[in-house]
Amino acid sequence: MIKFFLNGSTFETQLPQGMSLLDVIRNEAHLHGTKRACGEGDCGACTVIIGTWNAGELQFSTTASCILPVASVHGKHVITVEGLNQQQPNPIQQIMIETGASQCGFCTPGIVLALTGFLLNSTHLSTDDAIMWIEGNICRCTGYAGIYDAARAVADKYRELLKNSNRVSVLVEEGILPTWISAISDNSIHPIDTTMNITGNNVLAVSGATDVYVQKQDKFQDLQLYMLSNTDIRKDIRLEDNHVYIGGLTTVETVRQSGVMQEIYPEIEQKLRLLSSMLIRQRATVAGNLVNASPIADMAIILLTMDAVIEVKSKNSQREIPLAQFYKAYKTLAMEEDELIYWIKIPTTLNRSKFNFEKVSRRNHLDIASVNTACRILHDNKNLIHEATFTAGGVAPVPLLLKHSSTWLCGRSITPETIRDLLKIIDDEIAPISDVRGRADYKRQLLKRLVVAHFITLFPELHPEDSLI
Amino acid sequence: MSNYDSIDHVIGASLFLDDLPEPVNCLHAAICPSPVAHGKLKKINIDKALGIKGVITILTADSIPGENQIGTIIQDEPLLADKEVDFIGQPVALVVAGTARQADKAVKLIELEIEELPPVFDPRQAAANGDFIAPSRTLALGDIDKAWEKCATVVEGRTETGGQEHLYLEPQGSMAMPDERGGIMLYSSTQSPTAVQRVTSRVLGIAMHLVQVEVKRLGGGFGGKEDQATVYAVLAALAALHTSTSTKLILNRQQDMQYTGKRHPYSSDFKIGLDENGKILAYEVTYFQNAGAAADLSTAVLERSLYHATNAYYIPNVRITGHCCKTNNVPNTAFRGFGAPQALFVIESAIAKAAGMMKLPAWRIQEKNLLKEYDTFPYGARARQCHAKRAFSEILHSQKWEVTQKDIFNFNKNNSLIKKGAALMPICFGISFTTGFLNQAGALIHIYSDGSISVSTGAVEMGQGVNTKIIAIVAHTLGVNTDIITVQPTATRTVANTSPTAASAAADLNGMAAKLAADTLRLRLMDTAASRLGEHVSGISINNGKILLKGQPTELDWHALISDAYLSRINLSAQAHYATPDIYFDKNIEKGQPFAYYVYGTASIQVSVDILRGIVTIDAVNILHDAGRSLNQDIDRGQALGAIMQGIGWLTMEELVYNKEGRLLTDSLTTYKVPDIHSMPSEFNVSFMEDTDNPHAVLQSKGIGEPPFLYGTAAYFAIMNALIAARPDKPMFFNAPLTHEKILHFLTCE
Ligand SMILES: Cc1cc2nc3c(=O)[nH]c(=O)nc-3n(C[C@H](O)[C@H](O)[C@H](O)COP(=O)(O)OP(=O)(O)OC[C@H]3O[C@@H](n4cnc5c(N)ncnc54)[C@H](O)[C@@H]3O)c2cc1C
Ligand code: FES
Ligand code: FES
Repeated sequence: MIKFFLNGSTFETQLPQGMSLLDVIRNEAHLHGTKRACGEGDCGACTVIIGTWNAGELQFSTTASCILPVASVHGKHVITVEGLNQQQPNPIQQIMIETGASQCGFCTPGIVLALTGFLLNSTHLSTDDAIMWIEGNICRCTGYAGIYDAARAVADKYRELLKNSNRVSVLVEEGILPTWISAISDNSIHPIDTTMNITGNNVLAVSGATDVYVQKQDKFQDLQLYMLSNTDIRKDIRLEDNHVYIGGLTTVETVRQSGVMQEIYPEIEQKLRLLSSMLIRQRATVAGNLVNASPIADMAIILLTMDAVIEVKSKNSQREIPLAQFYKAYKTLAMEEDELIYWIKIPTTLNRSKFNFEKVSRRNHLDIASVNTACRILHDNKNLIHEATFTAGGVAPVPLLLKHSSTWLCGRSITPETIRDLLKIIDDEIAPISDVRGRADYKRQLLKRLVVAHFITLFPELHPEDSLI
Repeated sequence: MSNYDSIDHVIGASLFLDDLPEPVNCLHAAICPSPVAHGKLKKINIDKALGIKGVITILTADSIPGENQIGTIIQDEPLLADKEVDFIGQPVALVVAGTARQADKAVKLIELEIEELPPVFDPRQAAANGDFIAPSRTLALGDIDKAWEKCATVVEGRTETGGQEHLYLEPQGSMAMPDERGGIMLYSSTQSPTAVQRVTSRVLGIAMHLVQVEVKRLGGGFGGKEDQATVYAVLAALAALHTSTSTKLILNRQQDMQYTGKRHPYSSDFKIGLDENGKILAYEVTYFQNAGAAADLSTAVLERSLYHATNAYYIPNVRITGHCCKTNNVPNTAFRGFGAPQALFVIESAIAKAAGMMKLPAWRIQEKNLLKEYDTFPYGARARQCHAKRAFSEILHSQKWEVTQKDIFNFNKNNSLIKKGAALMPICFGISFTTGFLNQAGALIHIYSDGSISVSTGAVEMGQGVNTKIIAIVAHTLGVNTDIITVQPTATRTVANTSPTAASAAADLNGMAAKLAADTLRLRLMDTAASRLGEHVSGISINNGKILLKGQPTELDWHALISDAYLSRINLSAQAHYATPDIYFDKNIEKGQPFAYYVYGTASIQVSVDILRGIVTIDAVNILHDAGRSLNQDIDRGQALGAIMQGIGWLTMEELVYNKEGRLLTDSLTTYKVPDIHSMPSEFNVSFMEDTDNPHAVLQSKGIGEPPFLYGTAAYFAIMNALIAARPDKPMFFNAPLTHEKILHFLTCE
């Protein structure tokens, strides 16, 4: 039985633990403010806030409830739009009315929740941040102008007020959060025991569920879920023995904001904004991205350039697998069924290298890449390349390490000729296929342009574009 | 006043179809769709499916008591396939079960025996085969055959525009409840309650008065629920009739995208002739419209393409031909703009191509040929209250257009990695249903004895703010505050024989009907006030809920007056009907006056193209729009901004991809991409023209829903201009949407 707090009161459901939280909210709790529009995490109409206990404190995130198995909110707090307002529109809602952020209204509750999540979590409380928090919410009516204005107004109104103060109590005072939240933050309601007994064969390991649940929720109602969040796998990032250790449950958003990761690759904070949306990134794990083994998996493409090594454990054994050897064939991994990723480790010495990541998709944000590529280059002051690793997604059955091309590049100096020859070698190393994300010849062309983009970005003073495009 | 519904929207209280309380034991239905695009339906084997727990019944064409026919304009579309399947996703059978999940499971076990026939997906191929939905039509003006000789430049070409998924956020659905008299109560997410009522009555073989349809609100429609909501309502009704139990049918997103029609793709040929100064002397165009497998609204959509072929320009010699081609795609349907955007794209392509030939900027040609007062459209009507030139020149001025052009030129000269481009887009859009009889509406107003007011009309609220406008009209007419007025859900039992909420005319038509009903009540109440005060009625007025005598307050307020009227046995209800005057069309000669009035305006769009990566940023969109005397500027601005983004989406990122068998591959939000918040231009402004009162619509206003969609066209040409700056050696191409893939192809191929 799954038990959680729904808008401040405990809620129990006997429904299968693989049922989506959205179905439980709508069909069992009969709360209809949370909408279903896409059912696959791509529109944000089903956004809810999840409160999780961490060291005696509630931490809040926003999430797409349509692709969240209800099991994963066991013992947590779920806040829907009905939990926010006491009859009257709260200040966020009032601002949205005034800016014309709502027309048909179907996307609206999701945006209210997303903006609430922004106020609860954003460090800078900037307009840009506010937009990031609602980037996972699609609206077909407004053209976003009213929504943008609302986001900016909310950020402006609360920027100063929320700095250096207890956010939850300020937001309660402001009428944005209901008063029962403070009672919970006071710890006067005790968290529910989160240990769950999983038995049976039909077991599926789930962490963020942003991959496995897309278009397959139905199937998972019949499965037992093994919630990796209930294991001892970590979700943080730590520094040890000249290595960065990314936990097996660490989310993409945690990596994006991580100072140690930025020390290796400063632009990672900006670049990972191209991976899904804030709504998804808060939950999507790095390990899930690697295991999902999609040929365009953005984290895989980046980590392959970082000499990442995966530490896996099963009941009886423990071993390390270099990421470079992880992908054997389409969706086939060098990992056993019973093995779980505990850590992904990266040498900190990499910070001497230059990195770049490029991704082009049909839509510039919240989209799967047509082609993505990353590179790492270690060179001397005479532009001689000592080490190079290039990767490419969307051009092979797996996230591809461009081995030949990378090896070939080592020992050469960066000149337009080198780049031109490199492109030829890359051309031989890839085998894109035509699909909804583009025709094979487009992906081939695009990868070559993006490789040129690596050089233009990393060596602007050489002006490689003059002879290459 | 902000949107009347928005308080309920923001607090999550607004109920949509899937949020309505389900009756006890409500059943759930699921559609078994055709897996092939064309074939002979030999056999439907439902035995295994019937074995699934919870399945109550499975309905096929044989289960239909009335006519198996849902076509509105042309009766050519069965509700459930019979003997033949004509498109992938066509309903073949309907499973009714205890839960939606059981119904979905059973659908997978239905075995269809289909003998496949070769499908056609290309409208030109269909035309070559002689497969038309309806006879082709030609409009002509002047003598085009002679005109070519007088032209200094003649340019020919071909254009393609792709389809577009509506992507209303609320998927299609319906709930049907049987009543004790053999009738059906239907809750439907439709723009056309009357069409649902009429077709349900036809299919079930029961009279229309036994079918009640009610619509509270839609989570977006955009034309996608004008004709295509009907099938789901009728299926639910059929299930309810057979099981004598309430039945609900809601599509999930993938089903919605697979089963429902889109904006019509067009393939077109043009020929344009100009004199040496850039004056257009002749324009000939042929549209091959991909109608899909059945008529739906295709002939009406094509009709609007014919009428809008010359956009906001006067061209003295014109020949316009439209072919409504029958293919094996899902029947395509209404979508904001209704054929006008497709036609506009062709004339603007012709102008762009001619401009390239003549080494003139396209905007010079646009400017030279704009409509002026009393200019003749190809169908004989004349431009009246024409603001085409004014809008264009005001944009030229406010956007410092010539300076901007120079800046862009200089920027492009100095930058090889980013190229900028800009384009202007004048528009002209006729308001009225081109199907004349649809230009009517009804309203019913009740004033209750406490003074509160209930208004019913035929308009469906789908986010466009029609209810807010109707409240404002009624409040204004009666002289009361808006907060005592409620607009009721749209229901066939309160207002009958309604037209679809479409053609940007819902507020015009229903607002006018509401105004007429309110006028009747106002006159009655003024009489009541006059006799109560012992004064002549000519001195009485009502304002802000106060009853005035010669402009001075009296002892009477609204509540006292209503109470008095009730006790004096005055009828406090009024019904009214409005029919747009002075519109007519003679199809024999293809001449007439199909529109009550026109909407004008001009857009300026600027873009940047990342030449290396082949990706686009829309930098600035500035619009000057003619909204008449806007009933509500906030709502009208919201409508315009939303429409423009949809228009930009249509011509840039929104691409429908099919496999060889005709199956839609982009059937989810993961693969079909509509604009997101990052797609919004950083400069995004709509302003309204001043002093453009419109005597042809309610309170001098103008329809707003569709016209601004056309502005998005400027994005295509702005991007194209940036591309040409990067590759001046190559000719422009006119194949929308202009996706990142096509952009890179253009930039990299010889
Ligand atoms: C709307 C949307 C947009 C997206 N956009 C992108 C995008 O732009 N780029 C991109 O790369 N991906 C994208 N994705 C895919 C997905 O979000 C990512 O791949 C994500 O990182 C998966 O992580 P997860 O924790 O949700 O995985 P889950 O779905 O929980 O799991 C995926 C697989 O990994 C296994 N697994 C998870 N953790 C472990 C572990 N510690 N040890 C062993 N096995 C494990 C699971 O058993 C499962 O087989 C998107 C998804 C959605 C819904
Ligand atoms: S319904 Fe679209 S993200 Fe959940
Ligand atoms: S208001 Fe309709 S989808 Fe946003």
